[in-house]
Amino acid sequence: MRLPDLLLPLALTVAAAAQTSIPATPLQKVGEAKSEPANPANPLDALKLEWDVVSKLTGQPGSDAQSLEARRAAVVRQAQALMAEDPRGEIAVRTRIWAALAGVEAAKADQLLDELTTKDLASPALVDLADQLRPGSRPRARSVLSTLSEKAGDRSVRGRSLRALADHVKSDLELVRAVGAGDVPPDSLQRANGLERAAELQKLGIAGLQAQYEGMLERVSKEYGDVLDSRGRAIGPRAEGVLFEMRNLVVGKLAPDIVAEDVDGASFKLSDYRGKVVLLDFWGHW
Amino acid sequence: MYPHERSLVDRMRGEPFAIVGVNSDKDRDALKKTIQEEKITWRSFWNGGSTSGPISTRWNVSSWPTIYVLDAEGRIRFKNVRGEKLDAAIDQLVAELKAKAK
Repeated sequence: MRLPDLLLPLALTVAAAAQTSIPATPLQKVGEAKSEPANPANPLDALKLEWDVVSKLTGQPGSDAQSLEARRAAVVRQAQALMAEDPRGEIAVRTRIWAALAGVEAAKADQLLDELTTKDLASPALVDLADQLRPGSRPRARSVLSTLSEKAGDRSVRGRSLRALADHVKSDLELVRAVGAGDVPPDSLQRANGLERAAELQKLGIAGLQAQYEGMLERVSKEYGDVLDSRGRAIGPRAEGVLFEMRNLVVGKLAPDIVAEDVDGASFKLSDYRGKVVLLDFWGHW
Repeated sequence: MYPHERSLVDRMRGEPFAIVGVNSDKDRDALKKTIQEEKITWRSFWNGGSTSGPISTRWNVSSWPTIYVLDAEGRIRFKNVRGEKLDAAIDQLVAELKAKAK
């Protein structure tokens, strides 16, 4: 059976639900611009929409469990078809990422992640995977990101994976700090990371983790400064901002001066207020 | 935040204390109206009409409001304190300053 035949009834349902029909757009832009809105004419987006609908209906009173199960099975079949059609192509890679992380192929998630971090390593579409492996998302997130940051063929994938990996170190750092301060139960490290990793983290300690975090951010800034994030912003300056805050905008440090215009266009300085206690409020009326 | 800040302005009248804002609104004229309507008497830096303006970028601000409390020497002493803790922080620093002056 050809793929479009498989997808036709689904695409119609989805188009009716979305009440819009957007012309098919090419997919090759992944990673260089912000994520595009779901497009029902794109077979993967159509599958994701159907999956979300089925997931929402599941377990709701009055829903037909049998027909939902059939729809679920259809999504899995169609996902498998998308992954098989052009296995190293962008749609296949993006489908693999989605199937692994959204629980579509929950039992095969590890197998899919293996494939993504071996056969798919050259794909620029792996930026999606780098972005979705947030701290706490899944036990393998760190090792996958580590592999991608070193071995991915695409520079944006390496840069965004390294940036994501830095966030994992930051989350470790915060947890080690919280345990040290008694803000969370003493066994939190073990419960979040397992015994082995918890021992490593304790050995690294706050200073070691801090150094690791800063080192990663510095590498992001130096080696991948111009790589764009999912919202189209360069990751280098943002990493530098985090470093600047960590080093200079901490309790005990002299606040950097601000010299700028006020709302009416008259220039003034933060240091004009020396001699007074100052509440500095970054605000907006929204 | 404005009601708390207005009450701080009232409570701290005559004390060595000031509120300084960094405003990231888009529209300067609309902001001037807000400032009148909300009785915002303290001065604000203009962040260039954007949440990614030069000042908030330099200070790595990614959530609003972000609060710093500085002592009379311009040192950062508290970060993102709110409510009663904010009042206590300001009171502590003003008391420190007065104790030094004696």
